Amino acid sequence: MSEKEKKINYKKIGLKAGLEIHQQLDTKHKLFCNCSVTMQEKEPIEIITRRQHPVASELGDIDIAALNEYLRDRTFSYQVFKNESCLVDLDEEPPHEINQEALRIAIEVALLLNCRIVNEMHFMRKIVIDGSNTSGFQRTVVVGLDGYIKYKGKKIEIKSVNLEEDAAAIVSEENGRVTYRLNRLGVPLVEICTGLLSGFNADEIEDIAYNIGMLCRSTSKVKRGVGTIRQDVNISIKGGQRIEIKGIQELGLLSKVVDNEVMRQTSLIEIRNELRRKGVRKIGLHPVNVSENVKETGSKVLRSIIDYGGSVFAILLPKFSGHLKKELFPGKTLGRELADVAANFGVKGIIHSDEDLTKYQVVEEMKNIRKKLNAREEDAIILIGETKTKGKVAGMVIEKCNQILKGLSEETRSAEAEGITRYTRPLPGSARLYPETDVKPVVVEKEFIGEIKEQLPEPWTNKYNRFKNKYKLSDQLAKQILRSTYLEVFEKIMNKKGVDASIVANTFTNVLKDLQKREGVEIDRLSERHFIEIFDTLKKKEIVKEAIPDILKYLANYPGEIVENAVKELNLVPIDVRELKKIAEEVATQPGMNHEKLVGIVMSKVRGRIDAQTVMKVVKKIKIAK
Amino acid sequence: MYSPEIESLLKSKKIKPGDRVGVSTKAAVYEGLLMPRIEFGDPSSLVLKLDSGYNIGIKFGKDVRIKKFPEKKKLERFPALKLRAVANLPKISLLATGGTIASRVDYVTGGVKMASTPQEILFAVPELNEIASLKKVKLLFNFASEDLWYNHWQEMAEEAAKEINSGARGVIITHGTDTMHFSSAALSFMLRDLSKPVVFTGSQRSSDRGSSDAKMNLVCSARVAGYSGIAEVGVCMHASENDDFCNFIRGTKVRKMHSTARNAFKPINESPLAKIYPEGRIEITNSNYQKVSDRKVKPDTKFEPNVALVKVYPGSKPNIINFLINEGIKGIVLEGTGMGHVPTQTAEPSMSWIPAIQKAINSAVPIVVTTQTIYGRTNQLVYKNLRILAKTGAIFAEDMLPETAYVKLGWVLGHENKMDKIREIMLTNIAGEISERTAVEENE
Repeated sequence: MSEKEKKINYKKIGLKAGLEIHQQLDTKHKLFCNCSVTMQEKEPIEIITRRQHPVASELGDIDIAALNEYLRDRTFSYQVFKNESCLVDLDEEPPHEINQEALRIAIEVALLLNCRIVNEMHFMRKIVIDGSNTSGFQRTVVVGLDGYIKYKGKKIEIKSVNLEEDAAAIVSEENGRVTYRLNRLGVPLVEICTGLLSGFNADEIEDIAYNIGMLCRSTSKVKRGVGTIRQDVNISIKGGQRIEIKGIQELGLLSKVVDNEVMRQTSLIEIRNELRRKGVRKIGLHPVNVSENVKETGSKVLRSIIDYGGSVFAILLPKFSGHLKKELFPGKTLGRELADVAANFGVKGIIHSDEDLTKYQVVEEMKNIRKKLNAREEDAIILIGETKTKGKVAGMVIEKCNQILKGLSEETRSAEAEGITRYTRPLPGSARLYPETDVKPVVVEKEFIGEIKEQLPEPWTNKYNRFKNKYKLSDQLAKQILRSTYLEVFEKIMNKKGVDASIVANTFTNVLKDLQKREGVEIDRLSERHFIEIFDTLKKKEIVKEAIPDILKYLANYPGEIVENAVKELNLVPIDVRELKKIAEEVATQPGMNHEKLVGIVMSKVRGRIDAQTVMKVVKKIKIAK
Repeated sequence: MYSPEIESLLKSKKIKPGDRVGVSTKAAVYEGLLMPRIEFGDPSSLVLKLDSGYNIGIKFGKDVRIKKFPEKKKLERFPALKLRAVANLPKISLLATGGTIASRVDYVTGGVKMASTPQEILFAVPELNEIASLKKVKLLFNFASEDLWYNHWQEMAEEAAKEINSGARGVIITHGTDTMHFSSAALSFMLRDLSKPVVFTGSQRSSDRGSSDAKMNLVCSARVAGYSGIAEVGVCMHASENDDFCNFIRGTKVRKMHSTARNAFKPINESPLAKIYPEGRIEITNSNYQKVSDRKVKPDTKFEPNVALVKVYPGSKPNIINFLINEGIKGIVLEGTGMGHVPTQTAEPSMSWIPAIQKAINSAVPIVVTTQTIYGRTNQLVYKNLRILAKTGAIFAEDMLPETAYVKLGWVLGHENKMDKIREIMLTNIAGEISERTAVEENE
């Protein structure tokens, strides 16, 4: 049952959301150095290994201790690329002056969002402790404040537009070693933060994000493609708490993420209420070491802990039986949610009593543990194997359960595939800001802003309407081409007139995508020249539209070639009905022929030289000799 | 500082940085904490820290109003760290001279405060607590290292000797990186009968950031000072761009070879003495060092400051020597080209340095010749020009670094003024500054 069918009553649950959109800019260089931002180099030339330390401040003993412990066991490996990372990215050289091109684009975006541009920009360091910034902080500056966009007649508040550097991208993480690639570190980003969106449903929230994204794209100076725009959303419902979800890469999943989160919070509230009705307010019992009871177990999961000197802990969750297998949202049970908490602290998996225990071969063990803990049937048991943390992780899981019983607390989650999110551990001291003294403040002159104002791009909605009304593109195709890398080329070709817009748009979107995905064609080797030539040839009726995919494939393999040669090589010169008839009649004389076979053979002979409809029409009329 | 106009307005309204204020312009109203103005940017822009944590600059003008809110920002309190006393740790002393090895951030003003008490240092680098016990932490002075001079070297030497002679198992000296190698060379000569490690360290990346090399450098330095058997003065800094281990390099054979990178300090014409891993392992890579013992250190800090280091290059004019002599210079170290050449048989005879050098030596001003190639050894025979230079009586400094030779000359002149004695001591290996043999570089 899809979430839509569940019919969430957004008004009733009082859904409130805030969006934070990060869009990479398409500049020549990175934000604070002259490295390339193309991110195309595949092999790193070197790997550098580092550690990070908590920075002493007014945080307090406990926070520092927690941070210290977290970072003590972590090493960060950074992949260095020849032209895409330098000493600045490695935190071996101070930042160069701010990239003026990026500054302009950021101001442009801020103006499009109706923001007030700051008089003097002060660069800040935002503490980052997960190793994704080699210096331990991210450089960021606020460019515009207090803007808005209009959506369905309402004013959507844009709190701020910031210009900042992107972080290194994670490559892998295992056993405390995290590997990042440095080519993404330093790529300029604009960060757009909305105010609180209230009174909208999940689809509308996604649509608002879409609108903001399109506004960025209308500058033609933002990067396109997977990962170039990332969305964070914070969500709260009545009776719930503010939950932040980071890293939604596919815009199309945003509404699903929102819905899933709404369902998760609602489910947790329901579970809490049910448990409270049964008299459960708090779990006071500590984890119990049950290593003795599982000593002889055949369970692989537990064996891997016991055999390596670890211990297995059991926690008793009173009256939780049956709740652990409840789905908080499609794809995540409460049991799985608690397993995520444990995973944050290094525990690979947990076993809970709502599962099919025969799968883990712990049926007998569980029985004994139940006896040991005086557990009743309505009580749930969770087994957690800890290699060296001595029950601390089990304690964290109990804390999470208590949190659920008390009422949700603010937390951060990260987005995964398919709209699923997982709990991520809160780390103290992160997101603190202090001045970046290695970069001078930038005074933004009124004239500079005026200059940019005069060159603001056409609102994307104008293009959209033009594509639909003038070019008669379908809604879907219009949206597709607007978001495509080939938008400019498309417009260039359309300005020359004489070609069907749908054919052109379809080529740039679906045809290219198919060629790339299904046949592995390297479409990046196709340049503007190729496309212009193809459609000129089409205009002159020297090819039919069905020839286009094959010609594109050919040119991608031989980019130096011209369309004329491709047509000759591939035998794609158009034929007329007379020639078609001749071919069809010839084939019809073959022994054992029928109309079905005839269509197939003729199609394969004339593919790309005449349109399919005509073939069907003509072949139907051919008389086959018996 | 803000512009005088703003300063007087703030004064009249009793507003100071840290106060919560409201600033209204024609276009908007802002609220936040007033920040101090740094030297860059527009002094007539008010800097405000918004509630989001971001700072912005608001241009001040006649339409701008500022008012103070009664809310008082709580004073920063530096939490007390409960130091868990660990028994039987070696006692080491830490002398600070200005490089910030440990600091903390005040997120309100963005100021970075230097850690100067054992408490603060241990708070910033808690690992130290398990490695050594800090016998003494003393701030000698607070200078950027390019502003230091011989009197600072003398003070460092006296203090280090005092610490060792009163029971320190080793001494760490935190120092700005720019001239660390000058100071390490100076102390190598000034500390006679050295019996414990004296470890210079610092940081290339400011210690307020989580990625700072300061932490590992300090930890490794503590390991050298507390546990190694190397009774030498040396520099302990990152060996590579990785946070894997530090090199402990002899103080007379080390040089800063990169303006900003972590692994800027390299051993020149020699292998580092040891590889130091932060987890504790010390791998000796050069066994040519004095062993730790119980003898008393004798500081010998007599120094003649009137010495100069001069670089020759195509077109360099020899009259610089005459100028220096007129100014009362007592000795000059030349950074020659290649094996120690100076312009000698120049097309324009007045450009030859030989007459000026001869004049200096004849006036009892020693001239010491080193090479600006940094690596390699000088030679006074292979080319005619070298032989001409040698004939003047110039002292060819073997494979001594120019910076080390400069410091050594000042120290020698603090003790001797007879030319033959000066030559003798300059060419005697006192603290490892001259290698008897040039080993082949191992490609790591």
